[in-house]
Amino acid sequence: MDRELLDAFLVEGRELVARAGDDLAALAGEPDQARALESLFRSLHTLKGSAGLFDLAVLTGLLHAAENRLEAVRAAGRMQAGVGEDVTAALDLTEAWLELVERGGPPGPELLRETAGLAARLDAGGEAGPASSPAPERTDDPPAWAVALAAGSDDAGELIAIRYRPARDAYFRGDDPLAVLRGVPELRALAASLVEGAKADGPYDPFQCRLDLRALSAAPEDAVRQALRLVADQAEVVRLPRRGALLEPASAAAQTVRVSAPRLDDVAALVDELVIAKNALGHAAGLVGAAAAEPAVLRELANRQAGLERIVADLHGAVTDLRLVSLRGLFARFPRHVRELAARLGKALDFSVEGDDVVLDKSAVEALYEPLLHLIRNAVDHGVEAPDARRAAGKSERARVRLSARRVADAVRIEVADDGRGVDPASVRALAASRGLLTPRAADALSDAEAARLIFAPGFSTARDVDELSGRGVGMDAVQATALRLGGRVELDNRPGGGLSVSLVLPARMVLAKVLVVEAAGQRFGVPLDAVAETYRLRADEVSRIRQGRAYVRRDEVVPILRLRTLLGLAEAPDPQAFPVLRLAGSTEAVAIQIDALGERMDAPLRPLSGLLSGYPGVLGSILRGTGEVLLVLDLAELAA
Amino acid sequence: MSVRRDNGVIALEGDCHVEDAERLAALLEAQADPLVDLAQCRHLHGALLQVLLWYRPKITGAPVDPFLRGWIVPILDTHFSKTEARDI
Repeated sequence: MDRELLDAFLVEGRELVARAGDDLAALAGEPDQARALESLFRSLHTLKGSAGLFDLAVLTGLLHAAENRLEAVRAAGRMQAGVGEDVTAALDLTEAWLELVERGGPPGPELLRETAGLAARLDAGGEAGPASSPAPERTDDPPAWAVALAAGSDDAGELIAIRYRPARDAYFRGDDPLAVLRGVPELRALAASLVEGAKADGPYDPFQCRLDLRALSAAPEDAVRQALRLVADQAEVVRLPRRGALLEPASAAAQTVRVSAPRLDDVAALVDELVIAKNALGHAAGLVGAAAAEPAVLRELANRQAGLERIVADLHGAVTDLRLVSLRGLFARFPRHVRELAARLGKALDFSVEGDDVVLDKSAVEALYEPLLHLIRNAVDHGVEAPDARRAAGKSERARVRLSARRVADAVRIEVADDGRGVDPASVRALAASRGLLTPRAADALSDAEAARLIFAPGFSTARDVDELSGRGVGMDAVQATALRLGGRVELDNRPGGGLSVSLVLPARMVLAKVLVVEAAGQRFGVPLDAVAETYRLRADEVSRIRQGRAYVRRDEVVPILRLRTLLGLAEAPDPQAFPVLRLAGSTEAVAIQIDALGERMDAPLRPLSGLLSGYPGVLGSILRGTGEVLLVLDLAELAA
Repeated sequence: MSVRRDNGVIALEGDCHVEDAERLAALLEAQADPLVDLAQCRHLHGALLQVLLWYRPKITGAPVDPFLRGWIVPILDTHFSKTEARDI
């Protein structure tokens, strides 16, 4: 099965689990139960269909059982005891299967047993209910043979499935089943076997037709029916929904188009090219101005250029927005972890999720799973006290852990909050000192709030060292590193004895700087790509000296050359035989910056400088490379001025 | 003649009609571990496909006809592993 389809299944599977969970909650409370029940049905049904595509027979069985159970609820017209719990458990197990699919391993015996056990329980419950007849197969369900056939096909478009079981006397009638199938346009798959039990009927009889033929066609249904018109009574024709649609809830299908992330990235890359082309045009316009053209022509050019600039900026923004996805799928992954962990630790707690409709850049959402899982585990494991300890502290026995997201101005704040014991500043100070992270004296000098932040220091862990539950190589320092990498920060609200809240504050729309990496004197710097009109290699003999300076001539234009080493006050070196230069965009006066080497292009969130470096001339900010290396991003125009 | 036996190889040639089914079945019945050559086959009547599915001889030769080569030969080659598994 191709990876793209699998990824779509994972994303949509999680969305569906989340939606089904919402519907289940609505069923418990809302007056409009019928709508919630319908929606729940749809989610389970779509999940079942998708699981069927991936040969997850055990999971398919479970979802089918859950569907049947709900069918009984629908027939009875009211929720029955235990149904909500069982369906919740089914959703939890579905989530576990999705994780398994993502990891790509075989299911463990425990998961298999649990899934089969729950399916059996759901089945038994259905029989005990008032609607004891098995739920009828829903009519919009493609038959199993068609799904099996489609699963082997790579076609993403709409397919027509054909099952052609010629009558026994077909050969006598003069029918040739294969000639019929030959006539089916745009064949995409063909399977043939003897009808079931054919061999049991006795020895081979060449005059009786015992074929069972299945085929897929990408042609329109009419054309397929036309090809089968002479055997219409023996052939079943089923229209299969588009492959994507099998994975998609019916209600959303009409309004959304699913685009794979790589294709979106391609579009984004093209827009970037457009930005660069626009910059080059700006430079060309400058040249026209320098050539003293008609003022009217110049005005016209400037107007058009401004218009283009606006459109390109809007387009850039629109494409960036396309990458925004809701946190729903991400958040839906945690309730099961919490339930499992709480059960294992013998803690009673309510886990709530809020604001999962907040949107964030896709890459950020993907990067947040591990850190949030860590924070949530920490809250359940170390934050929340055992029931008796809570009682002794005068708190309610059931603890509360809340995962929430909300949009605050230009940022998204994702918070994991608990009402547990919080962080004790004194023990953090002591621990940090004993681990040699700072001297006891320095530790004592810290305010309580500052001391609490020590939990983010690399090598620090209040959890009496890494344990099986919370320790997975992801510590609080990694949480902080992720937030920084995404251009955000971590905030801590610690109430010793009352609870801890950790917030990741991330830019709502990631401002990704397109940066060109350059080298000078062995150091690497970033240069915003849109500040660069052109890069090329100059040979030393192309450079002429003009008074103190150096310049070269290109397209009848004299371009002065400045050394980045000089501009930054780095060690000087004699010129090599050839060297790269960047010609700056934006200014009408041409300037080129000589560098030692050109590096890669990269996209990264640009972080403004803080502390001592803020306001440092010629530096726009910094970016963090994947390797953890920090690059200063230079404002070349300011440096060259 | 569209069903022919040559050196122990059963060759299906040209357009193989419904009448050929009986002869093909007889040849397959008579021979242990038969080999059927489809290289020269232009069309296979459904009745012959049925015979081949029944006796499951080894298949050799790639027919020129795209329908046979693309759809029918793969079924005969892999029928056991794929179709049986799918039908469960």
